[in-house]
Amino acid sequence: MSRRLLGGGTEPDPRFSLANERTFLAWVRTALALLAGGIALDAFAVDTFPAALRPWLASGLLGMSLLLSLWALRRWLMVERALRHGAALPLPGVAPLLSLGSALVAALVIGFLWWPA
Amino acid sequence: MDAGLQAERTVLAWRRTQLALLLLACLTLRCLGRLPWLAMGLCSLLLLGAWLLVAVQRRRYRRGQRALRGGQGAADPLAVIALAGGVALVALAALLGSF
Repeated sequence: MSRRLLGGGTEPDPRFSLANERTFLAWVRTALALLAGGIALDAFAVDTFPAALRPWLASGLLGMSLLLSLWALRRWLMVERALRHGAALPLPGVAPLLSLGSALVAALVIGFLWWPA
Repeated sequence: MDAGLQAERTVLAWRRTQLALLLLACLTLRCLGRLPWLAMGLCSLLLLGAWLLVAVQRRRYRRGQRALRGGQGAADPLAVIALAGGVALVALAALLGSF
């Protein structure tokens, strides 16, 4: 099953496969950190944010976590396939989006800390 | 060629991920007052995931060692899919619970 999923080609140097796996785990830990941020925002900061906005901020982080974990899986697969065919590794296109999204949420949180609703 | 160290580094990466899962499980307990069933469900799921990661570590290390010696077979799609799917599931559940 896994052979079909990984798409044929030649078996890559196992060090590269293991490096791909470690990179995937690093992305998953990033998704877990965003998940923790979303849950913490939901559980703790009751008074700082207007009641209407807080679920959206938490959802923003949780949504990013969901998308990132799925993206990490897809990326692991794409990199493994690229390794098997000796192709160039794809760029992590999600990285700038992630930075932008995180910066936006951080800016909103800082804003409301200094100017509470 | 650092044949032994790659497998060890990969196991350590899994352990770091397992720790992150444990921390997240503790965090969900803070929501116990507001959404008890969801919090307990998520916490249990995360703890189970963390325990599963511990349980397969030795097998993982030996698999990595074998792959490095034999020159192939290091990719483990099942573990990757299970972990990504599990995290996505928790994120979705928390997302739905936040509304």
